[in-house]
Amino acid sequence: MSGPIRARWGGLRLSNIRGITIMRSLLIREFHQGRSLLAFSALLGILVPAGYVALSHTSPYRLYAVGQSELAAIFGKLILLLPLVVALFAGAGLFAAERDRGTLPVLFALPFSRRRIWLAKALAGLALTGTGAAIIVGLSVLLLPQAARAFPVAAFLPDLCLGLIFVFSVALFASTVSGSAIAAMVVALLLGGLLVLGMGFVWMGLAGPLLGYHPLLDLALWGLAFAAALLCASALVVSRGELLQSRRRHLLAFPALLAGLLVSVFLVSAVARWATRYQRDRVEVVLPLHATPGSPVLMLSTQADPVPLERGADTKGWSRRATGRETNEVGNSSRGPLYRSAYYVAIDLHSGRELFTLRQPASPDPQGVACSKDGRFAAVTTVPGSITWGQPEELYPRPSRLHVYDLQRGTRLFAGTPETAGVKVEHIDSWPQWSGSGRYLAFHASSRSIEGRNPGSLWIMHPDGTGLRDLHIWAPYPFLHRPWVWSPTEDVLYAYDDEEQLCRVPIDGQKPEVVWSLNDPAVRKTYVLALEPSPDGRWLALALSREIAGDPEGIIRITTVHAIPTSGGQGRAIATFTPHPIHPSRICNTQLAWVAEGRSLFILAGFFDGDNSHLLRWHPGESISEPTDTKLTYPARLVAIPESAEALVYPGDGDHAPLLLNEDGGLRPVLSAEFAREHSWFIGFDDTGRILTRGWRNDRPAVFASDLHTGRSQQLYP
Amino acid sequence: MSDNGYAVVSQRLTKCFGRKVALDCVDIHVPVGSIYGLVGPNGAGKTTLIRCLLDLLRPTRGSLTVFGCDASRGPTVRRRIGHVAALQPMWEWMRVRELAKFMSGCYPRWNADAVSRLLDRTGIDRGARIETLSRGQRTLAALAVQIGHDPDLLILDEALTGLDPLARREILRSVIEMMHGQRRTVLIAGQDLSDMERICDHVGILVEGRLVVEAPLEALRLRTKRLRVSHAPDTQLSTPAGATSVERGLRETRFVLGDGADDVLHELRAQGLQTDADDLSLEEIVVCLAQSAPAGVG
Repeated sequence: MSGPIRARWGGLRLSNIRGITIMRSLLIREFHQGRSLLAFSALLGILVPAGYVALSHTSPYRLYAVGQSELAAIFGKLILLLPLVVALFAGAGLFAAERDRGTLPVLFALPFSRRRIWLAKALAGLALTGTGAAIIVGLSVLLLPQAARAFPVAAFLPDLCLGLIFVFSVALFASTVSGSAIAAMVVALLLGGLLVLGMGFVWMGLAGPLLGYHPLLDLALWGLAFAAALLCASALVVSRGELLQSRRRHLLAFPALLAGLLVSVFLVSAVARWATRYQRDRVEVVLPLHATPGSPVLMLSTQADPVPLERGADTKGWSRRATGRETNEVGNSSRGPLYRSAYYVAIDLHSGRELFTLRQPASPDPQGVACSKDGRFAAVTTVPGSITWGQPEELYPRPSRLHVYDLQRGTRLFAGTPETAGVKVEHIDSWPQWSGSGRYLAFHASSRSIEGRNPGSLWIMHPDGTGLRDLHIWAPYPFLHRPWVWSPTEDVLYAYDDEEQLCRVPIDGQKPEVVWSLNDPAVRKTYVLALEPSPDGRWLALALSREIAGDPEGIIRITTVHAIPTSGGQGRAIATFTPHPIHPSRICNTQLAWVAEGRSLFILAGFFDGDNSHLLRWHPGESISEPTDTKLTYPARLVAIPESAEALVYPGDGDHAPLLLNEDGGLRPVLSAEFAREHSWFIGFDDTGRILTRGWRNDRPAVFASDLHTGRSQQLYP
Repeated sequence: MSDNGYAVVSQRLTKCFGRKVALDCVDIHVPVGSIYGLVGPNGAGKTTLIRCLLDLLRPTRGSLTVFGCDASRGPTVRRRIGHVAALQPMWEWMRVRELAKFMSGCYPRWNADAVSRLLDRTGIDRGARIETLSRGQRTLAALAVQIGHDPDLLILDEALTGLDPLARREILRSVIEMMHGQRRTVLIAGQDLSDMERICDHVGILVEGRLVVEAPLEALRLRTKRLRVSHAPDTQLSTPAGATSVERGLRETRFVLGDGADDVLHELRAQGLQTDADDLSLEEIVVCLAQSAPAGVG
């Protein structure tokens, strides 16, 4: 008597439910066969916490001065590495073990096509890998929560998934060409290592020159493309008739893999190019980071991704459209390969031509950019992207990269992490600054040497990466402001250090010399609000926010502006601003602008929420005065107009017209309030006196250059 | 569906492994409803032919159809085929019941009763792991799950080799039961010629990759004779046309003839020679043909 019809035959389409039903038996069998792997995973998931407990209660780890938290972090990393072993085991045994036991002909004699058998095995192997990984990670984190606290395991889950897919694919391919599971594992390890090296080689050497895609860094894209090539090659070998059983399978497998990898390279390149174009069309945020006053080049950075933003009806800002995923929020976390990218662009202000574009896929928020005053050199600091989320970079910072371009020749002079003998720069935590002639580039960075880690220091180097030198001075909060400046003579830098001293730092390596110190015991902490050298190099204007203890535990901030002669004379406080009457801890916004070749210093300070702002003028050697009765009740920027005796006060609220400030302190409106509203972000001036602003065009952010008097605008970007 | 009443038909089927020719222009015809014995010495190409049938190997040249379907349409063909091989490699970690359950999910039809009957009769424990079964039990378990899906064509590839008489008897009994009242086809490849002679009704003899004989077994036995000719010493008899084997003695010469044995018998007797004709067993036929290869008889 015939039993019920269990399943019917169907075509190989994923949408075909019958096909999936038929494969069910194969899937169950494969999964059943791999249950020992799950037991092995569970064992690993218990052994990791047990190993931690055993080690943390014995002395060997103390021998190497490893702390408890570091030990926990090591085990946290181990939690992420062990699932890769499961992936290797799961993939390597799929076909090689069948061949080893002689059951391959029995399997292939079943009424399934080779493709379906391959698919069932691959799916079951992936399911086994995923389940095994979940068991290891879940058990380990459950039993060893301190590892998850010491090391952000959750943040690396996308990397783990990618790694599992990649390792599994390599192992599956090795399984189709090997005679036993052991041999398959060896082949997988060798091949995986070669591919990882190959990825680096392609990225560093081939892709840029040949394919025109420089930051070929989309690790996820590469990993998935290679995994696809490996899976296709293994499927081809399995489905090609008897080849799997004969020694001649190698003749097919490796050429197929090579072809697949080559196709992957070109596909990745094509996808990356497409993604670049796609994202460039959807620029959401333009952050004009740097416009060197009087420079013919504007450097800006943008962020773009396919996830749509929406502009608030009642606000002028943009916000990410809610998608129900917390990870979509803009922050320091990085994104997927086709998700959020940072672009760094240099634009010739005369022709509007883009001099270079640097894309950082899956990148954190844009870092620093700088252009030399003559527009010849440009520098960009970046942090390589990853597909992690959360903020693991804080715990395990990726080394910063510095890119230096010669804009006149159109060449890249340097790209990489600066290093000198025995010392490697780790994380550049400031914007770079060019000396006046572009001979030196200065930046603040942490470093690591054989002696240990230096948390921060000021460094200089030549544009081509040579002459890297540690100036041995730590400027606090370098990412907030620029607590150092180049002297016009380029032989020294002036830097405000962590001991509340303004130092003269020779670039030839001599010991820094204190030019001025605060000497106020009541001050707990100071912030540099502005440090501006006079154009003639004789004076340094320094705006400080002093933090002193209030009553009983509050903080009071007093802002002072100091004029310090660079020749070594006694500096003096030329202005003091009292704390905010209601919120004494608020920082007083203070801006400095030298005009008329250093004959006058304008100071704009205030909280801009009432009539508590001040516009002061100081002539060197004379007393300070308040030349106008005008009180700004709105936030504004004060910027000196290059090659002029005037300065511009640019409103930040969009309801007022910009004001032109002459040397005598007279104010007169220019342009219009509408212009200021449409061009809400003032960037600076170019070498022809045009103002550079970020405005809007077709509801997308754009950068404009406008004539200061007529208001005629030219869109520069995009 | 069948191809003019044949379950398996090949035309000039050739399979080469590099320079080695494993099958050389084989034209095989396995009638539907027959028990077909594929015999031949080791290395004759029997397993290669069966692997081509199962689409485990692809022919170098020629065509091979199973029930009218090209064998390269693997899954469609294999759905109708049951296959038990010598020293059947199996998934040793499985229990017998798990193997039966797995196989039941692989085929559109499943005859659980037939499987249970055979397992019960042979006393194979369903909870036993395959690795603990004896050689005979393993073959019987494999046979049980292969007849479970009611195959239209059952292939036994050296399945009887090396088994004890009881196990062989059980397998043959199962095959005959399966055939009972239904037009199923069985293809038995092997060297147990006495067993095959008992149950096969058609036979094909492969020698060095060539099908030298294919015929109904009874017809083959009827037409293949050994002629014993007595003669005076030192008499040199000429070899008759069509003789596949000649053994010359001092007073007696033996010829094995396929077609035309009766004519030769009458002719020799007409010459006054004392001539006797003996029937041959299948084994003797195969030995004679193997020795005389590549001459074809069929």
